[in-house]
Amino acid sequence: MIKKGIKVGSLTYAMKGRDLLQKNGYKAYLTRNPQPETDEGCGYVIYVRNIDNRCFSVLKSNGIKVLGVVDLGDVL
Amino acid sequence: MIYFDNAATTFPKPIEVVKTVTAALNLYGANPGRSGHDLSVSAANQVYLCRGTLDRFFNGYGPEFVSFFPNCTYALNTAIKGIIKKGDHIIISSLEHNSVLRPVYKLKEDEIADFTVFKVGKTEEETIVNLKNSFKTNTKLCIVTAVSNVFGNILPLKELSDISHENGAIFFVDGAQGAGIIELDMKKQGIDCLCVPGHKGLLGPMGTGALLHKNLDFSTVIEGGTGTKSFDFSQPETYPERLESGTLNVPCICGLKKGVETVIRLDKNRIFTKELRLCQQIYDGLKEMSKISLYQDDFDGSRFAPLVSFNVENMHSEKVSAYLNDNGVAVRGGYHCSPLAHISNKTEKQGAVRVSPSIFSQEKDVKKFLILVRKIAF
Repeated sequence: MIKKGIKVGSLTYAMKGRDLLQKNGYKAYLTRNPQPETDEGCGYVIYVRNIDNRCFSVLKSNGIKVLGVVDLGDVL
Repeated sequence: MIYFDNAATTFPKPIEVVKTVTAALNLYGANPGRSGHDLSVSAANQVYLCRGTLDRFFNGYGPEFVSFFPNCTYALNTAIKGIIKKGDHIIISSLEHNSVLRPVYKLKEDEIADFTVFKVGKTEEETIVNLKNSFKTNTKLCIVTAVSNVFGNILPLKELSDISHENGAIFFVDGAQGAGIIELDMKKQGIDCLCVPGHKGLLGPMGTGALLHKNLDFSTVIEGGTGTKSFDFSQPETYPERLESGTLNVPCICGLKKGVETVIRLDKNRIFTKELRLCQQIYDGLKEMSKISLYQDDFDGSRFAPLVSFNVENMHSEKVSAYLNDNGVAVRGGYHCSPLAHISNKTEKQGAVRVSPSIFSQEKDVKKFLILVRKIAF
């Protein structure tokens, strides 16, 4: 299975997002983005097992802007 | 030594704060939020946890709206200079510390903004009327201290906030003397931005302060590395990184978190009640002495925070403080960096001797203090 991480704007938002997702029953962790773009946020992503649309709803409804999803490949 | 200078910095610190800072130096030694390794993430997580603790303690607007600074003055400068634009008008109270007065005065000197000082009256009603009369069409900001650092007056924050908002201004609070001592609830009291020191009523170490705010559009005073958007030459727009450039003081931020947890454990109301009881004893004891001038009409916990200021006849307050220091009691004389408060109370010549006990002070300390003052004031 390809592992995916959610990109957000800052490390603080990544931590807030991780906590919110954990509270909502997801297994979520922080990890470094292995392929950051130069114009991207903090270089950290939220790795979530079984990403689904509800993940994004949880983040957005709590004021966390999702910048995209990154393929974490085999770094984990 | 009897330490009665807790309004400047609380001392001693709770042992758990000392242990936390020491442990953090060993456990979280990496740069938070800058590197991908576990130690860096672990340090960043501690910082994040402290943001959450402060956010909950002050009922703020989320951990991302809690920024750390070396002290309350830096936080105030960041907030005031970050929000004011050319042509704006600012209102401050007559009890403001230089950490508010000087940034505002600097904005006036630089012809960026003008300001008005409204007098805090003897009654709440008088204070409210004075504020109402200070607004102009271009008033952008009203900023007040929660508690006077010289005379202990507690300001009616909710009422002042309501008036500010009705007049289209945002409402900032300098929580230097109030944080950890009186109720500061950002949402309930309508506080748009709150600046606090870590080393006073929150029982944390020196070198810590925080700015809690709504999602306001702050311009930056300091720019630099944030660990985010490195190729963008502009400061990031996301909080808290927008306001926090450079490496944070992780060990002391860990200590600040522990300090706030200690305040919660000891119970803020219990701390206030004990300190107030000690101040009442000090006030009553001083009132009996013929040569003493006091500046609170009646020592009442709903109007005054736990500190007592006094003078002995025409002696300069620094002289009285030096006498007490020579006899093992630490108090604060002089002007307390608050010229407006001294002008308001006509103490600009002598200053005042400020006595501020803490939760760790004891009745026997009060008795010794009163015996010493009686020798020069009866």
